[in-house]
Amino acid sequence: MPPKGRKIAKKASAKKTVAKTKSRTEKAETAVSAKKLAALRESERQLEIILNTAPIGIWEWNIETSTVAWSGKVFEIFHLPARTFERSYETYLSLVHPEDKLRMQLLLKESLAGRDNDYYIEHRIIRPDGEERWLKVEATFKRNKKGVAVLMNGTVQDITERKLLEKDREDWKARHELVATSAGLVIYDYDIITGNILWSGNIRDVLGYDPKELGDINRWVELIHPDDRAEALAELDKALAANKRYDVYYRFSKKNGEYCHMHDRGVFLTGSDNKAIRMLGMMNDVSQRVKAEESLRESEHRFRNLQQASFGGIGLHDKGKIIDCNQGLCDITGYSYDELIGSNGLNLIAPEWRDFVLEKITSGYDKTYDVEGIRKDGSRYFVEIRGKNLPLQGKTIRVTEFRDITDRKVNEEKIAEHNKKLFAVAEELRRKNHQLQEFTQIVSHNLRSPVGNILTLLTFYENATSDEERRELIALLKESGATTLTMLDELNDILKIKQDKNIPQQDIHFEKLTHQVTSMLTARITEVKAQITFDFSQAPVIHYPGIYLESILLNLLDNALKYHSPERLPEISLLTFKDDKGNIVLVVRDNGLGINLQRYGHQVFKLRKTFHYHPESRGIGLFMIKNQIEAMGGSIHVESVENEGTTFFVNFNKPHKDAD
Amino acid sequence: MPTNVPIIALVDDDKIFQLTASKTLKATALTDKILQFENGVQALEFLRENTARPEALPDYIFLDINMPMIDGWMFLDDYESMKGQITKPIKIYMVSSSIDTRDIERARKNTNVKDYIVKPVTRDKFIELLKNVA
Repeated sequence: MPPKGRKIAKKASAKKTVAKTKSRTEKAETAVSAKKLAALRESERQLEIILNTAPIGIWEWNIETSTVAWSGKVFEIFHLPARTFERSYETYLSLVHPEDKLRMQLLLKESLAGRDNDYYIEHRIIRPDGEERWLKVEATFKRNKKGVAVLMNGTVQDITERKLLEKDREDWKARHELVATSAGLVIYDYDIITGNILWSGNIRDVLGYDPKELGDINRWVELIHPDDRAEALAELDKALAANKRYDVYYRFSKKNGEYCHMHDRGVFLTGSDNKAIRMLGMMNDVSQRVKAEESLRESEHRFRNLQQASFGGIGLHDKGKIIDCNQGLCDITGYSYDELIGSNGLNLIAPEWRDFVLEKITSGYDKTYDVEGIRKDGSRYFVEIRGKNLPLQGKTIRVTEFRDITDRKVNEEKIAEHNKKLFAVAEELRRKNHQLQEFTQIVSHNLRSPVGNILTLLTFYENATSDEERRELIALLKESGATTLTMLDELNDILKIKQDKNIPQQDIHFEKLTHQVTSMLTARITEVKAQITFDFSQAPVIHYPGIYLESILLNLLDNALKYHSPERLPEISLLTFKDDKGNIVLVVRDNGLGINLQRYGHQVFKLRKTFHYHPESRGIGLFMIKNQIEAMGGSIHVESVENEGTTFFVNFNKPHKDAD
Repeated sequence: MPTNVPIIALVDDDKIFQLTASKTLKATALTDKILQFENGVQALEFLRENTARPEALPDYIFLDINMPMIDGWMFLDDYESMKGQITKPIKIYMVSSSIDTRDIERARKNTNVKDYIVKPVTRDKFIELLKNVA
């Protein structure tokens, strides 16, 4: 924004030196002598030379005519090709740095409108080649009687180098201040000859003293902690003698009486005779760091004591790699400390457990868990592990505690074994109790019944009025007596089974025994035209009490024959095989009447229970063989569909589940 | 013999008991109408066939526990399910030689059972039972 239509800038003058160029002198000339004129010409010529050699551009702006004149140097300064640029205010303005443009225009406007004739500005331009330069512009105004500026002339000078230097210096100064202040540095310049010390830096903040309160070398010595004084001085002497760097820590008294930890580093400057005459250095308050280190050392010490005192093994590891451990871990694993450090902690775990442990580590699991550990000698032991992630020096490490729980495991196993035994005993007792209840039932129902009949019949006999009646009653009494005896015999058989734990066993061939049993049943087999087939190929032989197996086979076959369906010829098949636990199973299948198990299932193996109206149903067989099978630790169960057939499964070894 | 004598059903597989009990009942002179069933199946069949004929249905059932096929307990289960159709109130007594407390308890808990009688049953006991209810 030019103050008037056309302005041309550049005016020489200004307070400084060189300029003051009355380039064109006017009327005065005529008044001087030719000699003076010559002298003047000479002086002008010299000035011209100076002007052309000095890096200063001269310019003049006739405000009234809006014309601008400038010396060739101006082109150089602006880096303008001489012929292609018009000498104008616009040309000048277009080169002023955008950030400085407004400032320049305002100053110019103010100066034109003001009364002061001096004009001075430093601003940047951007040359046509794009380079940024600093210019210094000085000028003087000429005003008419009304005070309106009519002419402005002056100099322009490239001050880029100076500006850069200035900036550099300012940066350094700022940086130095910043470092000294923020780092809590105290700077000293020690004159070795006189003992004087020049103090600077952040003395007030660091030590609380006014710089004047810190005196010479003696004062410095005095302020060092008595315990550290001798060493600090000895080190100083040593460094001085060897002209080496001084680098020492000591405690230094602050104004408030507290001691801070100083890190003092200094260098010596030597004089002409190569002897040190000055010492420059800085004292750095490192109290915080020292305290932090101390407390770290202390906590490490405590931690180590704790670790060593622990009965368990403790290891610190970083992603599996052991970085520290206690003696306990060495004791447990059989490795030395040096062997453990740097090794992979997973190597202490039995291979098949490593994935499990890895999962615990990666998931940050922090509860205890049991795994099997492996010692250096390859032996195994049970170990309880508990790990915890802890942040340490910016990393997350894991503290893992090992506890040898072999004793506990052994005890646990012992307890488990005892429990198992107790459970077996309890089971046996339960069975015994159940059998006892069964006997109560048998005695109550089956034995009391015929005896009760006998008593009734005897009463009838007493009251009988005729011989015929008495004869009838005697017959009935005999029958009841016989029933009672049979019952007692059966009970005796059953009791024998229950007591006969150590009955002799032998290898029995199913096929041979089947022939034996079928020959005992020949009459009935022939009578009902039964067809008996068998397949014992999968388990041909069993080690079992012979009389029991014979009883089992006989009863099952007898049953199958007895309850055959009148609608079809009996087909009975026998099969043995080994189940998934290697126990031998006997299967006896018939196509007979079948049993409605839903209704009678609970009675199948009970004494004196029959499910068919069969003349020979006595209800003893199944009860008997069930007792035999169970006495030998096996089980029997039945599957049946009414009017299709019945299948009995005898598992000779599998313990029965229910006592039914 | 009175005209309106009670009908008795004996459900028991023990033939000697059937014989002695019939004789004893007759000896009470309180009834001569005695139905004999060898097991629960026969008794249930009879009841089912005569639900609508009160004159044929028994007034008393003396029921044994231990029987082949349908035993006393199963009889009671089936009776419970057909009771609604029976047109006559029937008193059921469990009659067993068992002195096992589990049997006695079980019978007591069954609402259809009037009482549990331990064999042998004397004439006096039958008289007491029949008179008591009559």
